[in-house]
Amino acid sequence: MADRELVFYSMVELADLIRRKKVSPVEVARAYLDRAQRLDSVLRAYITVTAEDALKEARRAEKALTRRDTLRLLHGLPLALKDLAATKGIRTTCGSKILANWVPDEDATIVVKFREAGAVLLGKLNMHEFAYGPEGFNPHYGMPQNPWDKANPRYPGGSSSGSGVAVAAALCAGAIGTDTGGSIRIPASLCGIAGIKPTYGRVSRYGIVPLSWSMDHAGPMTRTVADSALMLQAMAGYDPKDASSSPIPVPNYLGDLEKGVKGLRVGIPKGGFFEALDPEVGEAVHAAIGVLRKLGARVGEVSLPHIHHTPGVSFAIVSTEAVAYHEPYLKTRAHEYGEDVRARLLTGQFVLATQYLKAQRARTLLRQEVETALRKVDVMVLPTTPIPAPKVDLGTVTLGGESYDIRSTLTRLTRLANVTGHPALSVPCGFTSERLPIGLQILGRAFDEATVLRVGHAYERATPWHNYRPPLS
Amino acid sequence: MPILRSDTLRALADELAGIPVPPQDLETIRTGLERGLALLEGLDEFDLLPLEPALTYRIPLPTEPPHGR
Repeated sequence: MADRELVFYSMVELADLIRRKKVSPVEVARAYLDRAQRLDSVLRAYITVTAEDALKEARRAEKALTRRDTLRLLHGLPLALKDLAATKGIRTTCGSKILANWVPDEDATIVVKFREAGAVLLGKLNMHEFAYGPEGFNPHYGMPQNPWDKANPRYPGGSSSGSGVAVAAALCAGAIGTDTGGSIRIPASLCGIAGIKPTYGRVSRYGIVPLSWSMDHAGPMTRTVADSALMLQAMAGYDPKDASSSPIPVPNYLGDLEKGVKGLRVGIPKGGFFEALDPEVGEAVHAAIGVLRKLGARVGEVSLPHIHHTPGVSFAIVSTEAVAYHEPYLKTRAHEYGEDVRARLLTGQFVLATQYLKAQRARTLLRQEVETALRKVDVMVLPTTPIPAPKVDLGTVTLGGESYDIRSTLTRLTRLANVTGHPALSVPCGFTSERLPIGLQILGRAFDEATVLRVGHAYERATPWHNYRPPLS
Repeated sequence: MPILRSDTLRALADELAGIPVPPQDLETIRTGLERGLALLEGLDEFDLLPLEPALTYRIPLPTEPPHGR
């Protein structure tokens, strides 16, 4: 089996091949490590590759197969971690100079869960410094390169930029991202992969360096929706070490995937979600809604009248929570931050406590509004990002004759799910004429990731987009 | 949109918050803050007092029905 083919198998397919001993975990790990070695000097998806440890874990997984041990959920599957999840004995930089030499003495809970599930960890992935930016660049470790356009450098999307690039370019089978304003879904959309931000409280954040503790979520980024379901199964669940963790039982995500969308109610939210879009994004998302309708979903509009306040609410909460965490570093090592992140962190100290609490109150209002809409429909669908991956030299984009800055445009449609805590998935729904991926966002009820994944999987099965590969040698 | 003076921001940072602002960041901060606060101003159209701040977000119990049913 040629390595080039092997790395493009989905995680679900690889798991089956490993179980049937058609491929060995060592063979799979080597294929990914070789590819990363060949391509990552240009793509810059990894900050640290842990090749030796990965091969050790792969050999252990292979021995378990030989001994006919009970195989675990992610047995022998090669994953990579955004470099803000603590890894025992392996440096965890958070994409920063400040934590460049931090070697944790404990694994984050999700890392423990991956190890227990038998995953092979290939390394730590690049990211926007301290997860504070939707473009995905990094002044300390270089910007991960969006693999879809070799001629014109384009943003990969952030903050989980290394995760988006590594998964799209097949430098790992799946990766974790974190999402405070869209940082899983934005790179998923711009890099042409699937990524789900689960419900707030569904996945433990213990051991993950925070940006904004009431907005931060961790979740999987993969090439197929079924792979996201598989990874989420391993990640989800109550963790007494995380105060935000929910005891609600985790259902069987893979078990519900094939149920289809016939009879499900799909809502198209009113309130600006389909305004100021790149025309090709609008067309692709409307076409995707047509596909869901053809598959048997009942499509209708839902109203979210105050949703235009989401950016203000998000600004007041994220900026203040972020500066509260970073205060000690800002007082003593401010010069070690990249300029963009330092300026944004410092901005938070000027937001008043009354404004923060006003935003938290308005957040309740927005959550109630989304929950009311989700009484009428099972999921809502909307674009993930209003634009495809922008060129890195652009500061603004023109949409409908008006100029918008890139940063707020990228997060315009994703912030809502962070403010309200609802689960949201991005799945590829087409390509522009320049062959850049477009993302469809599916937002569902709290703790009902199963339905969100089910809709995404049904759409994916009916369309070819997840099979497209970036133009890499 | 509120108009903020850079010297006010600098004084607040130095004397109140205690997190000094490098001079080269002042203009970026001022612009970002003005934009953010302008977004926040729109919230005054609501009566937010009856609402609990979302920090008290209660996760439904496992025995409770899913949202909206």
